Amino acid sequence: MINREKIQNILKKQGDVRGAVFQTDANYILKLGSRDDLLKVENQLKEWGVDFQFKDAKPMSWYPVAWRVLSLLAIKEALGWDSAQIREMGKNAPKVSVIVKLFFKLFPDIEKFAQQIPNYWRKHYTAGELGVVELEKDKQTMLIRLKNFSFHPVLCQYLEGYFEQATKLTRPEDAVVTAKEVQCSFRDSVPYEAYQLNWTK
Amino acid sequence: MDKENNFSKRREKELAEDTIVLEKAIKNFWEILPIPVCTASPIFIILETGKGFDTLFGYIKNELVGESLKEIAFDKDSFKKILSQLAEQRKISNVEAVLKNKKGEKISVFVSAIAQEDEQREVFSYLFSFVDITLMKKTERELQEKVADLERFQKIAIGRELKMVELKQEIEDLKIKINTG
Repeated sequence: MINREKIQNILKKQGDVRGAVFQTDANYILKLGSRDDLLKVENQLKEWGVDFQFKDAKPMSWYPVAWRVLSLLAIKEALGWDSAQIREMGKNAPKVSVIVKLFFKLFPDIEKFAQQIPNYWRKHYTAGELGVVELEKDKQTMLIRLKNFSFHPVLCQYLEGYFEQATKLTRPEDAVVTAKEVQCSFRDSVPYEAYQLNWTK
Repeated sequence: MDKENNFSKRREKELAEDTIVLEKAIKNFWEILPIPVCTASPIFIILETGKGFDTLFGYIKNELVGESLKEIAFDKDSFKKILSQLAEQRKISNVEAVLKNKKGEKISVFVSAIAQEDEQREVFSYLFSFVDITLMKKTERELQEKVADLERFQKIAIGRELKMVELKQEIEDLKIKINTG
């Protein structure tokens, strides 16, 4: 259970996100549950002072990142989902996201894909910078770092799933792709989140 | 400075509004287009499918996103050849292929596709369209069978005619032989 003070602290944080993220959340909730579940999440958000309805979210419009974080927390709170389910929701998002479909150039060449990563982030968020720190093509691994985006650990779990699936879309169908948050600003006293991506093909 | 800021903000707002309009138009286009269409990555991983595509192949929306396009090929090897041709030529038109729906039933189609390239002419996705010609192929097969039947009948009929001519000639020859004998 998250307290009011924490909610207020999240709401104070600056930065916007595209409405597409709310659509992908709604898509996953409806995939697993019902319209009632969406309503439960909206009621939870209302209780926290965010009057928002998923159906009104315009994919290309900007909304506070704080709402995005609270939406994930409301999903956990209202639907009783755990971190693994939030991660799965993140994994589902690139498959249904309008931003991915319209703007992502999913080059199979991993170097070219890596060059696109900061751009992908900017298409979604006005806060934070995502960049590739290390790319070892032969070892099929990449380290990416997200700076200035310390909102809440719930977003870290979501993004872990998201990065995994976005990378998977660039690899052959039988490739195994994994993403793991190796450093977290909430856990490791570092001013960024770092994710290790690995792939087999 | 304020004037510049106001102009920039107005421009930004206009762009955002235009983007929303365009996004809606694209969404509606995908939704209403009766022709099965889909987009795929440069290695043919499905990225988006239209309603017509989902209907033809019997999948629910987004079910095939992230899967290989080869998933819908009935004969994977011949479909691979078509995809190689596309990767090489960057555009194909009305190439015949046999695909399959979710139940595994054969669907004959004409495949057309075009590569979408970036500024360096590198392919970042392909747009595919499929025209269902299953019914046309079925009718074509039925017609071919009828033509074959007619040909067989014609062969038999002509053979009979020739035999009769031959027999008539034989009778004539025999008559001559009797009369002269």
